[in-house]
Amino acid sequence: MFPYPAPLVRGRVGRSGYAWSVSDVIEPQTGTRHSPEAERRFRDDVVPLLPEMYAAALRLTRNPSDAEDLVQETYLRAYRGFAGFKAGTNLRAWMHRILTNSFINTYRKKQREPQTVSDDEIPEWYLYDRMALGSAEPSAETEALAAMPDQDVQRALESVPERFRLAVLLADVEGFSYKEIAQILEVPIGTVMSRLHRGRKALEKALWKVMDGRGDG
Amino acid sequence: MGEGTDEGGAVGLLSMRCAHVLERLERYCDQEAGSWERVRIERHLAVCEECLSHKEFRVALTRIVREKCGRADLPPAVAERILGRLFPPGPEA
Repeated sequence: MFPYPAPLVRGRVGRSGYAWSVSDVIEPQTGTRHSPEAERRFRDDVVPLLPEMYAAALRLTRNPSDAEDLVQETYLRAYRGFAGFKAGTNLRAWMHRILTNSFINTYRKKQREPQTVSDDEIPEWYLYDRMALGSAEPSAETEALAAMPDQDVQRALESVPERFRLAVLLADVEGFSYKEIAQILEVPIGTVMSRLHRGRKALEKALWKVMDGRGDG
Repeated sequence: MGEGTDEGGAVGLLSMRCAHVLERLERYCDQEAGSWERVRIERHLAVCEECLSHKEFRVALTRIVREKCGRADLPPAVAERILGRLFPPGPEA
């Protein structure tokens, strides 16, 4: 599935040399050496996660060049810190924790977006109740959701403030449990549940804005 | 059906009121409800179309986030650059 056995890439990039000037944000890996066994485990277990980590990075940064830098930083940190990873524990969660931390440290400084949602006035089942008003069939709401264009859903999700969006992405897209999300975000489980709930409500409101504005909701 | 009968009574005991179910559906759909809670919710969903419809809506909401925001292909050139910087060619290259 993953078409880049490391030795091949190593040779190719080394010969062409183009790879070195692309990002001046990231320092090349310096000096870390692992045992051959750890090195092999990193290549066997961590490198194949690259497509998944890139997809996650793209969702967080919303642009390919930042996503590449973020994944690069994540992999350098993961490589340097790999001795601290306990074999047999949750590698995906460990990687997403590094990715999320790197993202927050690097990009939160760049972005000036509000970190709260004023959701006190968003009622429970906000979207369901609004969609149900205009539909006769009980299943019509779920069909209307499924028919939404990808871009509309993406834009709605992007409008959700970062800390809430992170929780929604980790749960709904990455499929992590509350406990895993708590470990990744380094917050208590109750905070995860609250952020998820508020993030989803904010998403519902944003989705409704798209549907209602379109006039075919 | 079976209101006031033993059967209805048994469902009533195991089941929950709609308000309680709706409050717990998010956890339930996230597969985070405890096993006893899950059984009680499922007993209720089996007989309450209104709550079932809410549950299906929540499932659909999660599904569209996953399906419509989840896709992103890794361009081969990007993979090469990332791995190339991670594993710089040694003195032998």
